[in-house]
Amino acid sequence: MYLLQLLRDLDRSGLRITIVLLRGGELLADLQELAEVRVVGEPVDSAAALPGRLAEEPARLRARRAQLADLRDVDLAIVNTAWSIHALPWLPVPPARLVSVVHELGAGVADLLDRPALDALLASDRFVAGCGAVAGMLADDLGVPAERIDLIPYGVAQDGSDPVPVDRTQLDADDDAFLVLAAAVPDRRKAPDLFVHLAATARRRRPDVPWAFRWIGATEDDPRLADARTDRALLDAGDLVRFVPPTPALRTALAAGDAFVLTSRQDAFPLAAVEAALAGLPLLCFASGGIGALVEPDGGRLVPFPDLESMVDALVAWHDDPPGRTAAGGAARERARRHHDAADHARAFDRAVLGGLRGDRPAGAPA
Amino acid sequence: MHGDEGDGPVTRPHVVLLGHGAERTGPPILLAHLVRGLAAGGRYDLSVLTARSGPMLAEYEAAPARALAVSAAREPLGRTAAALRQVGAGSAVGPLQDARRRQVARRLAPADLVYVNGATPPTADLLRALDPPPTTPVVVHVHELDVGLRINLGDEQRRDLFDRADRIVAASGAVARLLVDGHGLAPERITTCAEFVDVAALQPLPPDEARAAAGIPAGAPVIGGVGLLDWRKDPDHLLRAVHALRRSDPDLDPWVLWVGGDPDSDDGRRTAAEARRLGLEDRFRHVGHQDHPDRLLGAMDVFALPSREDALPLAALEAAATGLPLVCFRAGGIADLCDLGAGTTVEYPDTAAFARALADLLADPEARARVGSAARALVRAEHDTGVGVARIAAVIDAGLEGGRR
Repeated sequence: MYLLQLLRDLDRSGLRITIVLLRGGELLADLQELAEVRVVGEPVDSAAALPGRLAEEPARLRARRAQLADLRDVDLAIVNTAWSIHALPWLPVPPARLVSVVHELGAGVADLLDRPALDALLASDRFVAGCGAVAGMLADDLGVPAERIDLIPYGVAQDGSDPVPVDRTQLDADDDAFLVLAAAVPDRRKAPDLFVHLAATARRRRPDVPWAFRWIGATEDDPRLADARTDRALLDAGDLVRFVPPTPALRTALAAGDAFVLTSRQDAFPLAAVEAALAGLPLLCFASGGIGALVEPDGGRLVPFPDLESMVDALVAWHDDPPGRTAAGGAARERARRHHDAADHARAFDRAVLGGLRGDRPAGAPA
Repeated sequence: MHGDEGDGPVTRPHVVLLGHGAERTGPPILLAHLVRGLAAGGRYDLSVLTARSGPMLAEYEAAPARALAVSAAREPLGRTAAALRQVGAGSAVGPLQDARRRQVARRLAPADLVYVNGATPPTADLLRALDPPPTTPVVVHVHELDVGLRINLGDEQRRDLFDRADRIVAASGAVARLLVDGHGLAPERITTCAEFVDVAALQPLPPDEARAAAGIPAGAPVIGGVGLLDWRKDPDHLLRAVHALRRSDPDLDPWVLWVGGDPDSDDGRRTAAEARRLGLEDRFRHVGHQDHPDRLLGAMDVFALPSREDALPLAALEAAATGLPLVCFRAGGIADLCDLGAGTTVEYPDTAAFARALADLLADPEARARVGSAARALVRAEHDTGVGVARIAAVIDAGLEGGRR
């Protein structure tokens, strides 16, 4: 999503852009409308059985290099997500300049990359971080000099209008419910397990409130939710917590809610929170990652991980104080409008990363 | 009555006990206690048939009982099954595995009574393969709660077990309540025979020796747990509770000791990551599987059971037997023991209340001693092997005398 939005907003004139993807996906067609795309495949799993790797890797490597053989004169390679650094050695010639856009926090970088991949990443000429948490991680944990890091706040597409909420029936919620929304893929890092516990805790603390907790981004039969579904059953919370499929109109879906919550164990800067802010919802998150810049001081509440009781304190306060809730949502929206516009991000990215590139080479040259 | 195959008639009834596996986990360990106890009386010929092999087979044989396993792998004919599935012939796997189960089951003499240890998919498959005559009584010992009975068991397997069972043994009051209220079984078919442990065999190390063995400083306060690292046992929840405790009562500064599971498994890495995220990496010791986990109970001041649900875990009974006070969620049979004075129970998933219960016990040595003493007395009175085996033997005898219901 980040790459797609960036390419849409960037001034691409004078640039020849080739996208190298480790795998395809639902956004592939959208990306192909904007640039030439080559899907080369994921690196071989280093945990796989050694005989299989030895047998398979040379052939895969040859195929990858053949796919990229013409990219011999690359002026700039942009690595989008630290994991994508794995594709760099497959270029026939190292790029003249390397910029890495890092979205991951510690677990996504130092824990996931092996030493050669981490060294390749750290050899980048510049780094782009979308939030202070990633910039801090790069400087403090990975030792990247601050002058090589550009902090360019993340953004989402905006047109200045307020979204029209969807009918709550689309979220399987009643009109009189106090509707708490999350939006994320349902993996362990995003913690649907804690979302279910949060709902149960809220119900225990205030049984009089008509709570409805909805997680947008997963179907009920998603295998990643097996444990959360069982927990929900154990807690007799089948009506309280529901999982709702992903929607392309996320902002209008979020606008139907009363509050947005993120129970992620770790999250650099979830763009869903920006969408929720633009939908006018107050934000409730754990104080980890970079989302605090959007939430604080008046756009919602940050609580220490994994303090669900404090999260419920905030939800109860917003339930009991609708004007306060509206004010917090309004503050979040204003901050999102001011600081997290994708067009602004693209302009800053252009200045920091592409500056001078167009002037150096004639239009149509590789980028 | 039958004895060994081909050895001529004997007078002792032949009891065939079915188990899902022979690893060192709760139900197989309890089966070993039971087989030893039944064998000691000399009134039965005993055979054990398990779906999977494992170290407990040797203990069954030593009881003595004849012990057989269908497969050393997780499922019968594991490689063949995988290959068939790979070539799109998965439908052939079930019949082939059933044939293998029947082949092994035929090596046993006809049973006078079949005792099914656990309501699980493997034990349901074994009972179907054994296919005892309609006149042979069947006892099903249920150690499972909602996750096991409703989610792990298929509808057909559940029917196979419960419809065929003449008598049902519930491993705790919580299991009995679930069978009646949740599955509509008649109360008169159910006998609650609480799980039991071999109290005399428990040998906790002296506290600081045990702490040293776990890499914990002498005298440090320790909250401990024993069990696998799976989602149902939920050691991560204990870590979150201890994190909350350290925020509310920083002076207590407890260590967390978890015994069991594999630190190098996916679950082990997940739990270690949770500890890091919570800033507990310096206070968390995961020592992994131990053949004698009771020794490390000596390191603990309080035993925590963070399970989402657990019928009546032997690890908690062993901890109570050594005088440790318990803290658990109201999610299984240990809650009943706590209600009798063995510890504190809080509602699932109230992490803050769990943390408070731990803190209250850690901060009050007298309360720990008082509750621990009550826990020890309760287990010795109600959950020692002698008591437990006698209860189950009574059910077996009633089955042998009464035949089918």
